[in-house]
Amino acid sequence: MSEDERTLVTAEDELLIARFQSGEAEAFDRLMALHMNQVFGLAWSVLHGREEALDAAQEVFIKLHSALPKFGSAANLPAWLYRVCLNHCIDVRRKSRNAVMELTEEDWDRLQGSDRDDPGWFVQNTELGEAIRKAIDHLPARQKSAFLLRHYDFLSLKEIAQTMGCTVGAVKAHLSRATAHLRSELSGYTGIAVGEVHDHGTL
Amino acid sequence: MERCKKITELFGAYIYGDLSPEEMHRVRMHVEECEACAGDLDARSRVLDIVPRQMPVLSDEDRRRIMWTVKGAIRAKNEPARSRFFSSVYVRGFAVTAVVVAAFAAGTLIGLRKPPKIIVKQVPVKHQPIVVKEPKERSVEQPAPVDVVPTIPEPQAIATDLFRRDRLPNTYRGGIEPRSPKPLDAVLTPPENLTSEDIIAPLAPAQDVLVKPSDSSVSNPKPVVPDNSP
Repeated sequence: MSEDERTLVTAEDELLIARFQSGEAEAFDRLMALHMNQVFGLAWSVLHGREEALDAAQEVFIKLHSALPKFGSAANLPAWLYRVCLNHCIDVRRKSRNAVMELTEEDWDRLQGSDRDDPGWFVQNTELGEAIRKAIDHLPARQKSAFLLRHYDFLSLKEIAQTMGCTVGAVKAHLSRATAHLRSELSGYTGIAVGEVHDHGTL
Repeated sequence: MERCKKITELFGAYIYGDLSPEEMHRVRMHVEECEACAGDLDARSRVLDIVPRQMPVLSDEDRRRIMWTVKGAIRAKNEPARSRFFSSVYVRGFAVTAVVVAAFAAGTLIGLRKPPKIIVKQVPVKHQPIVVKEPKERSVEQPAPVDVVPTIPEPQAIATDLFRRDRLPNTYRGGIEPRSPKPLDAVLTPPENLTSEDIIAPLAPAQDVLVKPSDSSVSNPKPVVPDNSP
């Protein structure tokens, strides 16, 4: 998302927040529609499961509805959404870390079908995808937040700094350490992975 | 080394293109001079290349699901707990079913009931037994009462219930009738040949008239006047 697009979205967010605070319930539906994709995507990037990501997105919007009456006019709604989403997803992930991930019937059906182009399928059903998921899971919380928010192009460095409540320099440092950690975890795959990735057409 | 440490802190932002032009130039210049940092930067770039940058897309069904679930949760939060309970589909369904079953059971019970027998009872007509009072002593000025005043009989009192003779003890089966009242003129007009006995006799206690059991003419009984004539 370009800086101009981000500015437009923020202006519309402020208008919708004002309308919701004056009693217009439909403004909340419009806010949900605007940010649903990003929230779901961020949840998925942490949880690596479609159902879990849908549940997390629902929780985030329920919390948004409770918090909207107290929103100030200059509040950055995307930053708030991503912060709440990341905190919720990291908590969920921490609790389910010891749980064994089992494929459901729906997952098996998707495997047989044409979902191989789905990045989710790649992450859940290949050895490389499993290794990438584990490497990201093992990142410390702040490095994980900075990496996911930047890698999936949710926010700029300045917005990530605002979301995480730190300086831009600190965000750069978190990014650098996250990439160093991933390099050490996934360096064994880099030689073979290039070919696999090209086969799946994800890059 | 110090310089390497400071430059490697910028590698993450460098890979994503987030550095200022001056910072980008500094990193490029250092990497050209330092092989270790060049190798490090290359390894990080290759690792980030294999981490997918695409995410699953929300289908329309997923979007609707999120919307409806969130709205339902908000609605449930706004409702008070009691009304939530009573507005539950299951509670409402149970209540409707219970009403229907109760109405059906009541209708069945009413239909199975036998019609009540109509019994015509002859309600006994209660008559106040008429008791003849002893005439009070009265002065000449006071007129004699014409009618007999009925009172509540005492158990030993002589009842004159002409219609319920079967209720009387055997002693009184014959029935007792009040003495028919004398006409007013006869009471007030003294007899021509008035003697002392005529004066005394009426003052004697009145005796009721006994009617013989064989006398069935209740409406016109024959008075049996005691023979007090001198």
